[in-house]
Amino acid sequence: MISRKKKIILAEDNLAIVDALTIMLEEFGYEVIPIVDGNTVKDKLKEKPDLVLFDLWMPGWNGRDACRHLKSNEDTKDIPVIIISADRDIAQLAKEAGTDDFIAKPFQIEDLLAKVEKYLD
Amino acid sequence: MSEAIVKTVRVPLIALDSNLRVKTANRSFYETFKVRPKETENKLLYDLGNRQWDIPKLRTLLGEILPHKNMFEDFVVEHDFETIGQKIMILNARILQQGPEKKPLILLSIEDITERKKAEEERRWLERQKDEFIGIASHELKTPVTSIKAYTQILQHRFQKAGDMKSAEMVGKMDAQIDKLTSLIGDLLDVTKIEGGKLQYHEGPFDFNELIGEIVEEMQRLTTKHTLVQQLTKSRTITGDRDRIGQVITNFLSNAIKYSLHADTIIIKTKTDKEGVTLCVQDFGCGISKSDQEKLFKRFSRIIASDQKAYPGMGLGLYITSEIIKRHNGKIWVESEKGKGSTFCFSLPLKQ
Repeated sequence: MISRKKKIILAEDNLAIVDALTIMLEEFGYEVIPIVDGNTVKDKLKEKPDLVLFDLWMPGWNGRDACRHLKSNEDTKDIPVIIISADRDIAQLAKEAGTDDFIAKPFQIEDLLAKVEKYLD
Repeated sequence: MSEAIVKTVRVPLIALDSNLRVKTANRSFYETFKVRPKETENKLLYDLGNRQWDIPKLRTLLGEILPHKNMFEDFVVEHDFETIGQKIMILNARILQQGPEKKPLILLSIEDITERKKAEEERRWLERQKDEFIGIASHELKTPVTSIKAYTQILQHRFQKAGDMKSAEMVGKMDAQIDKLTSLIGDLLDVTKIEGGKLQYHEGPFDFNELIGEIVEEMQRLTTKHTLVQQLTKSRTITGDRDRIGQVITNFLSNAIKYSLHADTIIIKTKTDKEGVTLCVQDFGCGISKSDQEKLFKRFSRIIASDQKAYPGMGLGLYITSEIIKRHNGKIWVESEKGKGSTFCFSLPLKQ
């Protein structure tokens, strides 16, 4: 039996990064739901993603608030959240937002994939 | 005599008797406040102009502090003066005893610092604008770099899969250059944060040797020419910002590689005692002259090679490094001899 493709919500306001990341993740067998506007995150959550990748400073609904929302909601609190940011203090910011993990921009493809795999195993 | 003193001083100055009545004032006073002697002399200080000197705090200073301490210094008055408008003045006073009866004479200097204050505020504003600009610029630069790096890595992956190793290797080199660019942007951002006092430190306990091991392994992968030799003593747990200390070690190692292109060994040594840990990185490269050593940890300092060509770099690495060590209450230093190599060291206290 072929297992279902794992679904990843990718919320990031930079189109080039969304494009590159989508290609990358699809190439490694994931289904990607790209979001460029933070305000549509809530809507897309209905598609039951297996993992969420958030840019920290997305306009509309920023990654921090989005993460807090997800983690405080019974239906979504078990979805792993990884934030991506160019901020050097990302480790601290991730801790404050209560995310499962973080990855600094620019990232190494292997690092990102390793983190995604870790939570989708 | 008091007259002579008052007249020779270039800052606006008035002499008052013990009842705070103006005895005399100098030319600078009349020019600054656009007043004449006849509406000033023999008048009470508080009655001058639109009673601009009738300020409760000044009354306290002249009435209570001055008789007691014989002086006050740097009292700032902001006032809308009748003749010259809104100004900021700085006041200083001294009591002189004069004549056989030792009659007290109060010398009061009033300096207009409005322009100076304005210039200072302007400078501060510009400084803030600059910090903000560099901060935004660095962040904005990282965004396209992120997507370029991502595309580059996808290409590398595809070339590898297709068995085109030559192309994969080229794209890999591109990726390494992107990393260099990223670290330059990071340095720019760090300097901005240091200057603005906004560099954040996230302190926690960590194993010193473990951190060194990780970084040496990573750096060894990046250099094919040098062998990084570890001579570490027993590890200690230290408290500090692990990432930032790691940044310091990386900086030492990448400098050692960069400035010893004709050598093949770099030694990483540690020493521990009761007070703390010391790490030294020794290279056998071009070395640094005594005069250059003094400038090394300053901002924008770069080493000029013997052929007068500057080594690449913005001259920010060691400055950032020394700021990080300083913030951890540590010490940073260099021992070097021109042509023989350099040893860069830092020490950190065990208890912060």
